Amino acid sequence: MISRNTVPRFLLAASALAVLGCTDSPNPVQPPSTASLARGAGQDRLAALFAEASPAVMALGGTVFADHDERANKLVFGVENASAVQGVERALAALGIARADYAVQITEPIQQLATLRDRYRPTQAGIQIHFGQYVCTMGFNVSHDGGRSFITNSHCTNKQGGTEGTTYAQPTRTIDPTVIATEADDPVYFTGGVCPRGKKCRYSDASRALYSSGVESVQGDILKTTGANNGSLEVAGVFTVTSQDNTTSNFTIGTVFNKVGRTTGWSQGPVSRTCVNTNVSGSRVHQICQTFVDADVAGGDSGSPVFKITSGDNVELVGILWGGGTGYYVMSPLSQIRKELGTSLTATK
Amino acid sequence: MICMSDPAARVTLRVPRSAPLGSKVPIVVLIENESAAPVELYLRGREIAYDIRVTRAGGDVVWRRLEGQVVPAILRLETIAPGKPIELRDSWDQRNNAGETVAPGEYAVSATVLSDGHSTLESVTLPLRIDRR
Repeated sequence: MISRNTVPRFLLAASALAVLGCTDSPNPVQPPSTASLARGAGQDRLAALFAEASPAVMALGGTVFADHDERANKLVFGVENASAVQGVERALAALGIARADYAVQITEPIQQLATLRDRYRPTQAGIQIHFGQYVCTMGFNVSHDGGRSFITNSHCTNKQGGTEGTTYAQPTRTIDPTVIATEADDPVYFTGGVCPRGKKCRYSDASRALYSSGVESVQGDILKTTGANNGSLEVAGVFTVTSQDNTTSNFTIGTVFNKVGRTTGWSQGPVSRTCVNTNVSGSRVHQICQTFVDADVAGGDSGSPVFKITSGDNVELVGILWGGGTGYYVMSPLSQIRKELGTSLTATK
Repeated sequence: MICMSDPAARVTLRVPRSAPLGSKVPIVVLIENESAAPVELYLRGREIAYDIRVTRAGGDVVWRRLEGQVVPAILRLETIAPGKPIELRDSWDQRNNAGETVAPGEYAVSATVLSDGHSTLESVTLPLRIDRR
């Protein structure tokens, strides 16, 4: 029976009671007034009507809420649009409820809010994925010579470097144990040459997972949360990948990039370093020619798609996020991902 | 699952009370479960990412383990059984983040384990005295 308005109303009532409870009554034994008795009797009558009316009305299409509004001394019904009003009136008339006892309001439908950590079928870029004992973000869906796939980090596989057939669930194995995809390509890290002594190197922290048949995916969309840099994980729309940057490794400092990840949502900030050779904390891994972006990141954002907004919600895909330090994240350019995972990789709508 | 703020999970630290100047100071960080049931924690990193801070008496940071480090942004699900802490070991070579040897005196050591979002598990701060040889 509850609309969003009911909660604050209830809190107000509760606060008022609390205040009354803390105040000495001028005459604690004084009987209730006639007016308050009448009001109480009216509320009892409306409560009885509400018990009948609520299930009858809420079974109708286009209804949003049913409330016994004690302040207004009315039953209040919320409907999505004017065309639903008549049905409510008919249902209440059939129950013998007088028009003066209720009001019908047109209101926005109350929707369950989806977040980046929910289950998505078809799958979308920016959502949570789960493998082994780890959680990451699905980078972006692609078409590829090897089949319909998604891209995430190389370190979001059971073994970073080398293809061992990591299986992925979404959002977690507990919520849905379906294997949505299986690791299909994670090139091994090389040593020697440009790779510093004692390190193992790649040009991108990226891997490809091949979708299981029967698991649908949307190519060219990245889930959009309610706003940049507000920390929200609530999905409010999509970005459309209309182009992809297949050539740039050396991005211009100050270019504003965006990412969407399961932990910190949509973050936006400028490129602060470009083509940086980067050691990875706690490992021998060395990533060559990476990009630093001054924007928010936290554990679980690994794999986030990184993009540039071109106009409105149209974006150009530029890379994949894999790590971060204090106040910045690090991404691998798409140009280098394609060199390692294949130039047939296409992420646009 | 028990969330990171659950009092069942806590970080403790083992640091010697004093160490001779120039020696490596062993530091052990323990993630413990103080409840009777297993706790599941979301911890950042493929290997658990944890920071150690050494500060002077006034609070100035002398050394941070993760200073300037790029940490993978992956979350690791770790189940800790009661009485079976996760033990993370490192040492401090008594150099500051600029690579200079520190002076003898009183210092303080604390540790932070990175978890989901920007939340962290913090240890208490322990004193450490660096003695002249």
